[in-house]
Amino acid sequence: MSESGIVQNLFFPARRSKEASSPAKNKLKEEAMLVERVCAGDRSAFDEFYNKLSPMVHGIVLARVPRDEVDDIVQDVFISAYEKLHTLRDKNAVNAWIARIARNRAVEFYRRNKPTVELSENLSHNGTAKNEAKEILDAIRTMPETYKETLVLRLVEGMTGPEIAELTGLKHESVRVNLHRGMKMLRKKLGIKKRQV
Amino acid sequence: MKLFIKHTFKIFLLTAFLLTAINAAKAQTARLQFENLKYLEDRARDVVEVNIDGKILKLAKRVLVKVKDKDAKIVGEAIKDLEGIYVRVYRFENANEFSSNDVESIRSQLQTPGWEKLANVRSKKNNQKIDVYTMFEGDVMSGVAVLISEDRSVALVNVIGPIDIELLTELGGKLNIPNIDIEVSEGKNENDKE
Amino acid sequence: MKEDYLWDKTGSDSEIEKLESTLKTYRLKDTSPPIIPVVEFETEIATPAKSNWLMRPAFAAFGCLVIAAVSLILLNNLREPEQAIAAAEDTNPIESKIESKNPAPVKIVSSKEEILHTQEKPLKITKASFSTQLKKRRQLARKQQLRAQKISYKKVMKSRAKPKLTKSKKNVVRLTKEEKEAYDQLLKALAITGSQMKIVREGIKGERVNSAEKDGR
Repeated sequence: MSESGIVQNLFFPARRSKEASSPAKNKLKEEAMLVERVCAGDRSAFDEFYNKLSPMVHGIVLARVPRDEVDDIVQDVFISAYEKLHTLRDKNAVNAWIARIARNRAVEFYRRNKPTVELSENLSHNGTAKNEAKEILDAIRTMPETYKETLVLRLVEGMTGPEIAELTGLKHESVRVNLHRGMKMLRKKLGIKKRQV
Repeated sequence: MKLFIKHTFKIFLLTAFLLTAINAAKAQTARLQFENLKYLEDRARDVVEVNIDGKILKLAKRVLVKVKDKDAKIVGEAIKDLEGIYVRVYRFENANEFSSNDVESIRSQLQTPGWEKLANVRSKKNNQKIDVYTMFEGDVMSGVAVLISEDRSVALVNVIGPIDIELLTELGGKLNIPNIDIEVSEGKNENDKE
Repeated sequence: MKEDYLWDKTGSDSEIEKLESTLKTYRLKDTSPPIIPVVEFETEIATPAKSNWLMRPAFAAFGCLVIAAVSLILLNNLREPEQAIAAAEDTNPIESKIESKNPAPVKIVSSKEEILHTQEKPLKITKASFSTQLKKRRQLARKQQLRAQKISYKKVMKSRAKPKLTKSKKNVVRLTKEEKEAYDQLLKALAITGSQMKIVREGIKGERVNSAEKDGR
């Protein structure tokens, strides 16, 4: 029997699993189960946990912090989450909880480090595409928190609106509004930049 | 003279027997009875049940001694006189699926002589109630009982024997305490002596 | 339709698609999760103690063999001059068929002293002296070979003697299945107990803060 199997049997020997009335409930249970397994020290569960939530955490951090620092902060967020996971009361709210940790870490980053100008990654003539990407990301970063986060998750991480809602814990309507208004604002900003050029 | 010696010997035996009985009774009362929690188990969505005592505890202590690791030594020291750990955690689908009366059987056991209240916390957040009780034999702790109930969960921890609570709190969350490689063999160990 | 694409990628929107392809460079690459401290129950173990224990007598035996071989060679070496002397005392010096580089005439070696104090100029080649030199060279080569073998063997044994380490230096423990399960259960019990105690501590802290605030008022 694998280690995770032993863990599951140990932790839920007398489980009365009621039939889920909806797929949403099933998902909630799965999330809670996953969190329990991570708390119990199941390495494969932690890998699953990381793979599932790392795009969201990456997007949230990327919306706030220079690109070079993002990977370190993402790793830091997951280590911190692992250490504190046992304190989480509502295991079903783990997504929103870890999103909060990611935002706090991003804020802490600016508290600890003086703001620096992010150098263009590619100074050669062939870097036009990368420069363009940087410009767009910079424009997104100047937006209000809710818009920039949602836009980064949509346009950079490639998530759909429903996925963003599920992962961040926001309502579908809220995500839809953020996307729509965020895009409108982004178009304006990019339109203005093009005119300046 | 002979009669006197006989009587003295009888009194001595009786006293010894009484003392043993008292000690045994004390040791028993440090252990809480969880049998009356069946109804919680039936209604709960998730149940966690852990019982570590007797042979399992001895084996586990032996492993900690075998491991040459600083953290393992600390844990080993903290639990060297431990006699048992019993844990029950019940999680419910919805709030208020159980009433305070359901855990009353546990609370009533903690009202018996021997148990002393260490902490009592009530919080409106999630309707949280925390009760911590300890039992001492002289200056030595012989048991700890923790009862935490919230809207959707009930957690019971019963530790028999002396244990460093502060250390245990620090250890919480750091599940894989000693960093060791373990080889699992099929048969008994060479050094396995009962 | 445009709104649909922005929401759930149904339909198409060239502007958003262009933005996506431009910004894709910033997307999270496949990274591995951070290494968290876990107990790895490995079935492979290093057995340095055993190997050390077995190899020591083997190495000692080899050492003795080497010493014996060297002493044999030395003994041989000592015997060679005597043989050469005995050969030289023979009245018929044998002409060497080997041509020397030095075209000096071959000198017939006739006395013990001359053999022992033979100089290389001019090259005195007799069968006896040649064979002596050849033997000496062979012995030297053999000594060097043995020395090299000894060194390389030492290196091999040293490298073998080191325990095979995994990623980090870890203790290796052998347990039975029962012990492992008991150990698992104990750690889990301690973890749950510890986490509940943390909740208690936080609850008590919260109470203290509340009462401190009330007192402050």
